[in-house]
Amino acid sequence: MKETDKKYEIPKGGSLGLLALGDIGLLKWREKRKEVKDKIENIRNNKRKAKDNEQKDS
Amino acid sequence: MSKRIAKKVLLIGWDAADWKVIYPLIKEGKMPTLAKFISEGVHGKIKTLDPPLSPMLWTSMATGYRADKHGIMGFIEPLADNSGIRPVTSTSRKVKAIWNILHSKGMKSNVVSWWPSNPAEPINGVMVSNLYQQANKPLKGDGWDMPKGTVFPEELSNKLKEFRVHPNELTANHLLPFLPNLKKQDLKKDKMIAGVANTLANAASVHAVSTYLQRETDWDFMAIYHDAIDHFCHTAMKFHPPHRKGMPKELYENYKQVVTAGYLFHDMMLERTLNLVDDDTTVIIVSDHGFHSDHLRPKYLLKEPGAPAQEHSPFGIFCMKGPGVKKGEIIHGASILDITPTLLNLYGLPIGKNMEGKALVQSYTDNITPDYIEDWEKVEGDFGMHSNDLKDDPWASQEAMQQLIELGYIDAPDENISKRIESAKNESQYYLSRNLIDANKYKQAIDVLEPLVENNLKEIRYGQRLAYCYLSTNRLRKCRELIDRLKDLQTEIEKEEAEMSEEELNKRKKGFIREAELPNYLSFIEGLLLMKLNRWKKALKLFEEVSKKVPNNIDVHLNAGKSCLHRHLWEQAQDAFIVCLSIDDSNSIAHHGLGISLLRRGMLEQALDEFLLSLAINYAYPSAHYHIGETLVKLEKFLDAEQAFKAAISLAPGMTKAHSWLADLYNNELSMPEKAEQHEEFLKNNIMGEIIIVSGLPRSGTSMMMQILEAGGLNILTDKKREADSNNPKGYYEFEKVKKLMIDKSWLPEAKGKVVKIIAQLLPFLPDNFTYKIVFMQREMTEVLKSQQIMLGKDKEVKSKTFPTGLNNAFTKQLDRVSTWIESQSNIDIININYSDMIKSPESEIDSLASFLDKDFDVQKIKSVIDRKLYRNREDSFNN
Repeated sequence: MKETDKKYEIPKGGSLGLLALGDIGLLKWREKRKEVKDKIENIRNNKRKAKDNEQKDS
Repeated sequence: MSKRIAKKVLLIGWDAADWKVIYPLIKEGKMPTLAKFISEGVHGKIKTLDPPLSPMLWTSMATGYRADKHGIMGFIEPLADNSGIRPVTSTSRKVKAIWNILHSKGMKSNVVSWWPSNPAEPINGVMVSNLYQQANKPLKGDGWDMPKGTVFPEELSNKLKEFRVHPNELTANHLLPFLPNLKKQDLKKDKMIAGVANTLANAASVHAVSTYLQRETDWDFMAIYHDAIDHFCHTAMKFHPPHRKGMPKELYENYKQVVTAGYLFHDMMLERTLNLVDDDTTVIIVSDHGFHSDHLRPKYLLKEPGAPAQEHSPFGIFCMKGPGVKKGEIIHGASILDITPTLLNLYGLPIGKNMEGKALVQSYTDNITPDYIEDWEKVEGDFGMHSNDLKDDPWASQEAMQQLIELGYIDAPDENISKRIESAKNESQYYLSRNLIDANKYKQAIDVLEPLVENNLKEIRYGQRLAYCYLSTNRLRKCRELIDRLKDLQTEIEKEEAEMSEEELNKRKKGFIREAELPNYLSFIEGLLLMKLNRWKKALKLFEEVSKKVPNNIDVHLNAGKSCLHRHLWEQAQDAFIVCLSIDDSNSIAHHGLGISLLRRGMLEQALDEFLLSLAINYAYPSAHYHIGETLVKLEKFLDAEQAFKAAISLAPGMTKAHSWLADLYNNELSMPEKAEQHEEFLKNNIMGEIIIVSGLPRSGTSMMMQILEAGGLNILTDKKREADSNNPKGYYEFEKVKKLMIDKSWLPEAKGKVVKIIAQLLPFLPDNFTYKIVFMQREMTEVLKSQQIMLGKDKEVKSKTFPTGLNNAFTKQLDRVSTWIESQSNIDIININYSDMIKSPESEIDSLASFLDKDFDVQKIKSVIDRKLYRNREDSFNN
């Protein structure tokens, strides 16, 4: 087996290069997608919370 | 036991991959992985089978058998309970696949997405079936269901499920390389976008699960099947550059990159796949057929099931690299039937003697002689196959079910389902017959086709194949009758369509633009029939007509070329063979034909090149060796010519003309008369010469034909004992001894090189140590009988117009018997000449005759002996 140490950029929208890497590329991309999704969700949640707090304060 | 060459083998299937697309991409540096691969191994074209339908082909690839043995017949099969149809399944395969044989030897296999492989077989290893990647449902939550039986062992299902890519997951990042104008396109309206996404997602799924299994499991053999190239091509080959006339520019711009991007993606996947194998793994990449990508792309598809297969080309790709495999070489002559024998041979296992392919031993650096076993099917033991209660012949089950319906035990399915099952059954029989024809098993094909044609009188396709089988088994009369019936049917359909409204017509043609290929194919078979009947001019005319409408059919051009050669139209023959080579430059027959055209035109060096190219593709081609000999004699290279003729004889020991040339060379050029002796002896014992015979029923125009041939300068054998009279004012041209042919054949050497008249009924008494060219006169039976009656002085009967039915039947039967006998003789060449045609339009008949006898006739001189006044007893004189 000739696994290389090549480093890959993992864009959120994926890439053909990642699909061509097979299972590892696919899972890494899904991880990244989830990570970004979670991040966005967190930001949204935080914003929502901040807004709720503001409303409560007022 | 044969030496084991490979430690491990990885077999990668790329459905429809074609060198015609790959070579330019490699040249542009766009497929670097495959380029490196072929430089490190062997590669070449691989011949497909007919019909070129993927489930049948990939099963042949994995078993070494054609479809009549392996049992997978097309895309669909009936459900066991007769309630409908389903995609073909692995349980319908009747024979062992390579992974079953390896299982029995304790080897581990991973098989991914092979077609058909659902339900997955219980092999030593992992099997992921062809239903694995199919996303039939929208993506919800974390995934979508996987059909039962997709993965073996089942406990791996949950793990492997996660490697499936749903098309809805794909983003513009994935699709833009395929669809550069994606952002401007309407995703809802344009269904082709979803098609591209589906195909890409399927490929990514198969690749992801394969790479996982490559990394995480131990295996001795791994087979991965990708259908994506085929699907990209069916979707978008019509848009592939160069732009085709009539293709809307906008569509062209939107989809012109799909095919190229598909191939590039496969090269990227291949890089990863190869990175995951050791250097001691043998890797094979193969496709089941090619895909027309150039001027050969069909403009229209016929309206018939499996029609997209018309876009397939007959040659796919084969590449192999690994320990013991040659590097950077091209191999010729591979067939998809060779894959299983080659795999068995790589593992040092015996090849089934009943397998129809061969091990591609020309790929190895060492000389390897394969081992053989009688029949793998007779070997008992654990082969990792489905248990017998799961295995099923769906067609037999369907028939059993039908019988129960007819007996009233169960209700018939509703009409639509019945129709679909019936149609699926007919198509499977049709595919079976094509598979048999492809294997030259014409008699078996006839057994399949005759009932099919009888029950589906309006399906011209079925009739055409049957006509071809009749032709190939020399049942020429049956062939003629069927062609005539099909032509009438075609005329009827055309009439019917002419009366249809535009709406009705469009409905009939829905989904396809109808090409007139059906009548063209019929004309092609008729052309072949005419060739068999030595009607070269008429045959050529038909081939020319067909080639205008179907310009890319190599068989049409090959036969046009052959017809031209027979008619000595050397330049025209040359053109026809050049067209053949523009369609397939590896056609050995076309190179050979082109060589003959050039040889006859005196272009000796060029002719020699073509013959040598023909042999490079197919060394076992005796005629090509023979023509090399003939060319070398003309170039005065006598020693080389001797070798060529000897090679021809080693392949075809009975080739008399090669013996004749060798005798001549040894006597006259090489001063070795002692060597000439054996060839002279051969000629003496085997060929006593050629006799031209004019035959037919008495009063069918045989005497007129004798006069014609005499006027044409041929030597006539007649003793003139029977003198001219009012019935034959120009003489009978008979030879008394002919009448005793049944008991005395000793006079035949006298006829050598001459023309002799022998009535039809005596022909079967001809000995087989001569070759015969028979000019057979045909005349309407009523005319023959009337003429005979008058000659016998039975004018009363003629006047009373009483038709002699008994005589008519007897003569017809006798002619049938003679015709059957002639068709079975290899030393007889025959041309049928119609008496009334010769009287009415002599030019065309004289031309056919000249070409048959290989003579240059003085047409005017011959016309002068045809006396129209003698055409006295026309057919309207009897009451039938």
